[in-house]
Amino acid sequence: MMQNKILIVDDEAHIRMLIQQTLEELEDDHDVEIITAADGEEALQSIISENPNLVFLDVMMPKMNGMEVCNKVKNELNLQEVFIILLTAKGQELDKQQGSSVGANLYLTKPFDPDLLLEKAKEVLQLN
Amino acid sequence: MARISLENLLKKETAKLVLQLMDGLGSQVCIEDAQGKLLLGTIPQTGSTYPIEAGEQKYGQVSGAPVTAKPVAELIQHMLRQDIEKKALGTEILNLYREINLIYNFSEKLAESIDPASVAQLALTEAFQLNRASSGWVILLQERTDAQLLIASTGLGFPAGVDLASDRFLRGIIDEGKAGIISERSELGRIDPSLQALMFAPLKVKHRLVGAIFLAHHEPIQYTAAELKLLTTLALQSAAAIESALLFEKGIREAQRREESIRRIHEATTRFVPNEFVRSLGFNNITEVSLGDNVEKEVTVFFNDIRGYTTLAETMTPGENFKFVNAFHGRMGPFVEQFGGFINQYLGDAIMALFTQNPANALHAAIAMQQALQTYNLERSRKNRTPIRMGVGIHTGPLIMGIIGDQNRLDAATIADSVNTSSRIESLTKHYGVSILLSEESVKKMPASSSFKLRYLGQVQVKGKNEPIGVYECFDGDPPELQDLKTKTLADFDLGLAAYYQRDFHTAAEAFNRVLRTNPDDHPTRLFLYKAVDFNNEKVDDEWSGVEVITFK
Repeated sequence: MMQNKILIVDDEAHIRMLIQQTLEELEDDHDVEIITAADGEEALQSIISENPNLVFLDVMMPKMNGMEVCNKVKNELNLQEVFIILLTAKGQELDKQQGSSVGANLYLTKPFDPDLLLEKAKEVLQLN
Repeated sequence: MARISLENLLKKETAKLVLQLMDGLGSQVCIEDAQGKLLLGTIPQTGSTYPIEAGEQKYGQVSGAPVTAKPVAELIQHMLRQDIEKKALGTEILNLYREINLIYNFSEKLAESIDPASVAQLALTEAFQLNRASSGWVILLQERTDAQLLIASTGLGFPAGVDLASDRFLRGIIDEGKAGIISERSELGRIDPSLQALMFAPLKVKHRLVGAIFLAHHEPIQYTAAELKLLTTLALQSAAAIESALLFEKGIREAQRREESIRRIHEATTRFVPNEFVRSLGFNNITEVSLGDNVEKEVTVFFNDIRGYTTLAETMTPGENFKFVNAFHGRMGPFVEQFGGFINQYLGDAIMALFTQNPANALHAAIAMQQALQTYNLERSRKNRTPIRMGVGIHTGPLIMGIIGDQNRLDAATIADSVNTSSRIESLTKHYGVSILLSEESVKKMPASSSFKLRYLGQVQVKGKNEPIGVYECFDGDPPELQDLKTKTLADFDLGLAAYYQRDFHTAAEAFNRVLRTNPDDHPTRLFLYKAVDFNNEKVDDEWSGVEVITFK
């Protein structure tokens, strides 16, 4: 079985760290590899080269925002097997139409509930 | 917290570094974890063993030639310690973040609650989720009375044995205005012997104390400073929300009270200024009306008056008078509304009413009043009281309804010639000795289908008016036998009046005499008969038109 890989994309380092910390037990106990990217372009390259199963993707980012990244991955590159969770700031929730048109599988709001985030990751990677 | 192990550590960059170090130092080492599991290399036959430790715990060991094994062990130990520190820091930050997220969600939920009890309940529910507790309660100090009020409770609830009204112990805790933990059984026993732990935090808005939130446990636990800190944060958040909910509630009560008093004022004013009056001005409410607002309409003006009231009044005390007038209006007033009119004014014993629809409505009201008066008079005669007679005058014409007065004192007023005319016509009922008199204008405006019993009484010039007006008597309100007599003699009366106006006084007198033979007490006929006889004897001049000139008001 191939190693599970999670990509965390956020332009803010402390958010990347928090998500990584939240998912730490996957890393330690389930042999999940966690990689990070700090902007949209980096994220896109990483998705192509690293082929992660799950991506936590921030929406508001410089260069290329999360919506564009998601759209490219899902609609242009047609990488359907990668599960994308969009992270939006509270109060700037996407409307459902917008989220589903770019092909996001799920979205969560920031500040996120760490337990919920971990639970979703486990669900997607089918870990218990 | 995630597990820290040598195995995990060696999975990362560390393994590469160790291998490079071994290569550089020229000898192989073996790394085992605390359980003796081989993680890297092969177990050497000779050499020394160096432990890898962090804190009090041994994580594993490195064996081999000291020249290599020692620095490798030191490197791994250093990296392990850093990893442990990093993870501890990360965990702490994550916990803080978790707390922020909870508080964030809590404030969001708080923002949705607008009554103090549900805010308090929400705070308790949240506190229950974050802390160990078997019961929780929120007590507020009431603003005006300063009494303690249990506004919310959860879990096992508020101790049944405590009477909040007389309680001093909890009140002491609240008044202190500080967060705290009580674990002394003897102290807890003052609240409830079954309590084993208690913590509390004040509900404060700025420096004002509004109450406190309590969490208690019935099992022997020890509340921690971290739990108290969390409760304090919740208390801080909810105090502001409770405060605004209280203000909101107060605002609503205030608004309801104001609305109620406005409604009462409105109700009272409609009794003074009829709603219909306000509505005819195009407003919904008297409060919208301002000085100078007016509307011109064709309206039927109705006047009634107690005949000989002045004489009657002299026999009564002012108090009796007042009661009598109110009893009279109480009987007559409702007919106005029943037939679609409204009372514009009570003028002592008189009623002035307006009918904005058809004059027939005014006449119907007049007839109903006269009939009701007959019933009333039967009652009065049984009590040996003088029967009352009432005259009604009706006239239709343009009328301005509006608000007059000055900035400080407004009055609903009707300004119209037709009001004077109507009042004069009412006075004429005395002159003609009839109960209901109406102008030709009113009769003309009635539907063709009306079948009132009317009798034309000729032209009258009332005081202050240049143009004569035609007047009709309506006798539908008379006692039935009188109605019969007037109907029977109507043809002769009409004949007499026509001859009278044609100056044929002889024919007129004959006709009027015929009427009187059947109906001897008919006042109008008598009046015209006297005149006809007079004019027959003394020739009238060319100016004579037959118009009855009235000089009294």
